[in-house]
Amino acid sequence: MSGGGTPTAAAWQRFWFAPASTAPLGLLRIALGAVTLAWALTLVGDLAAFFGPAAVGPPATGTLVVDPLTAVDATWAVVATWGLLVVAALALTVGLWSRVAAITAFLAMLTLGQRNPYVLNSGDLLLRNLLFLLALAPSGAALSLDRWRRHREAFWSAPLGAPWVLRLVQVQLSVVYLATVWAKVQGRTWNDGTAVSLALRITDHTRLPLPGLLTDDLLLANLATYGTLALELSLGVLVWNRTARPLVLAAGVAFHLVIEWAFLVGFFSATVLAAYLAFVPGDVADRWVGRVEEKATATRRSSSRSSSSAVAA
Amino acid sequence: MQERLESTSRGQAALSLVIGALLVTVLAGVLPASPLQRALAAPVRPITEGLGLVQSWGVFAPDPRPISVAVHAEVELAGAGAGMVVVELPDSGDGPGAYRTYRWRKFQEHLYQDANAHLWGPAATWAAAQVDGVARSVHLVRTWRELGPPGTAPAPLRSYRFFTLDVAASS
Repeated sequence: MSGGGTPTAAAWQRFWFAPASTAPLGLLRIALGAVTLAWALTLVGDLAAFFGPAAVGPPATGTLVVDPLTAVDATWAVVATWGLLVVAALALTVGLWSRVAAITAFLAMLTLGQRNPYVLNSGDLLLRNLLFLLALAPSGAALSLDRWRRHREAFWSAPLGAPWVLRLVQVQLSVVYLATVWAKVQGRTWNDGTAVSLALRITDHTRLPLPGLLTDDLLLANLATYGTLALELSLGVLVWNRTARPLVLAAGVAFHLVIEWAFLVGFFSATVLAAYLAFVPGDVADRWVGRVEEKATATRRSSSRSSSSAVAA
Repeated sequence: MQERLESTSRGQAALSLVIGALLVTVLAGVLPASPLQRALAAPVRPITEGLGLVQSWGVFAPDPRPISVAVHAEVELAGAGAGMVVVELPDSGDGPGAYRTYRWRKFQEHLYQDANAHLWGPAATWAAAQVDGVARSVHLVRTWRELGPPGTAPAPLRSYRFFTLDVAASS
C-alpha cells in the first residue's frame, strides 16, 4: 500500500495516506470543539427536563457501547456527564489532550443522546459523527496546546500527516448532501417546486414569520426549491472537483447562512460549516496560519516596544 | 504510534480495513431499503448501533410536513387553588435562545405524533411539576394548522386534547 501495486491501489494509497499538512485538521478540531462547547452550554437550563429522572421523555432502549444514564438514573449523573462534555469540548477547542478530549466529548454526547434522542436533530447527529471521526485522528498535531507543550518553537508550523480522517469527514459531508437530495426527490413537493414555500410556513420550524412575498409567490417557490436541490447535489458531487470546490463551498456557506437565518435548526449550520474546513487544502491552511502568526508576532513586538518605552520614560 | 501505523504498508493495510468498514457503515445508512442495503448493514450493525453512527439526513424530506403544530398542557389543580394552568413548552426566542428553543420544538415534533404515545405520560408528568400547587390531572393539547399550496389562505387553527393523565392515579 505504499504506492506500488495496481494503479487503483496506488490511487487509494494517495487519497487516504499521502502526507499532507495537519493544519486543516487543527482548524477542524478548533471549530468542532467550539460548536460542541456551545452545544453543551445551551443545554444548561434543560438538563433535568431532558435527561433527569423526571425528564420529558423515557430513555431509549438501545445497544450503545456506553449507556451510563440508564444504569444510574440520577440528576447528579446527568450533571456529571454534561460537565465532562463541557470540559472535553473546551480541551478540544484549545487542543489539550486532544485525543482524550475528542473521545470524551463523543461518549458524553452519545450518552445524553441515548437518554433522550427526542431532542436531537440531524445537526446534532452530524456533530456526534464528526466527533467520532475526530477521535480517530491526531487532531492535536497542529494549532494546539499539545503542540505547544511538545514543540513550542515549531508551534505555528503544522507537521505532515496521513489525511485519512479528514477524507472520511469529506466523505461524510458529501454523503449528507447526496442522501438529502435522494430523500427529497422521492417527495411530491420537491418535484412540483413548492417544498421550500411549505417549509418556510411551518411556524414551529421557522425563526420568524416570513413575509408572504417570500412564501406565497409560486415562481420564487420554484426557484428556491429547484435551486436547493441543484445546490445540494453540487455540494455532494462537485466538491470533489478541485476547480469547482471553492465555488460550491462558497455557495454552500451562503446557503447555510440563509438556513440559519430562516429556520430553527440548532447547530446544524454551524456543524456543516465547521466540517467545510476539512476541504481546505493544506497549503491554504498553512498560509492562513502564517498570517495569524505574523499578526501575533507584530502584536507581541509592538506591545514589548510599548513596555520598553514606558520603562525608559 | 499512529504516525508509524500510517506510514508503513502493513499499517496502511490495517487502516484501510477500518476505512472500509466505516465507508460501508455510511453507505448502509443511506442506501434505500434493498437487498444490497441489508447485506451491507448486517456486518457493520455492531459499529452503527454500538457507536450511534446514525445516517439520517432527510431534512424536510421526502416532503416538508404540511402542518404547523404546537403542543401545550392544561393542568387542572386540586384543592383550594382549584383551576386550570396552561403550561407551554419553553421558548427562549429567536436570538441566542433559538439554540435552546430548537430542542423543545424537536421534542414537540415527536410529542404530537400518535406513534410516540410513550412520550405522553412523562411529558404530562413533567408539565404537572411545572405548576405551583397540586395537579389533579393534565391534558396534553395538540394545536395545528394545515398548510396549503403557496398563495392559498391559511387554514383555521384546530386543537384538541389528545391525552389525559390522572395525576392522583398515576402517582
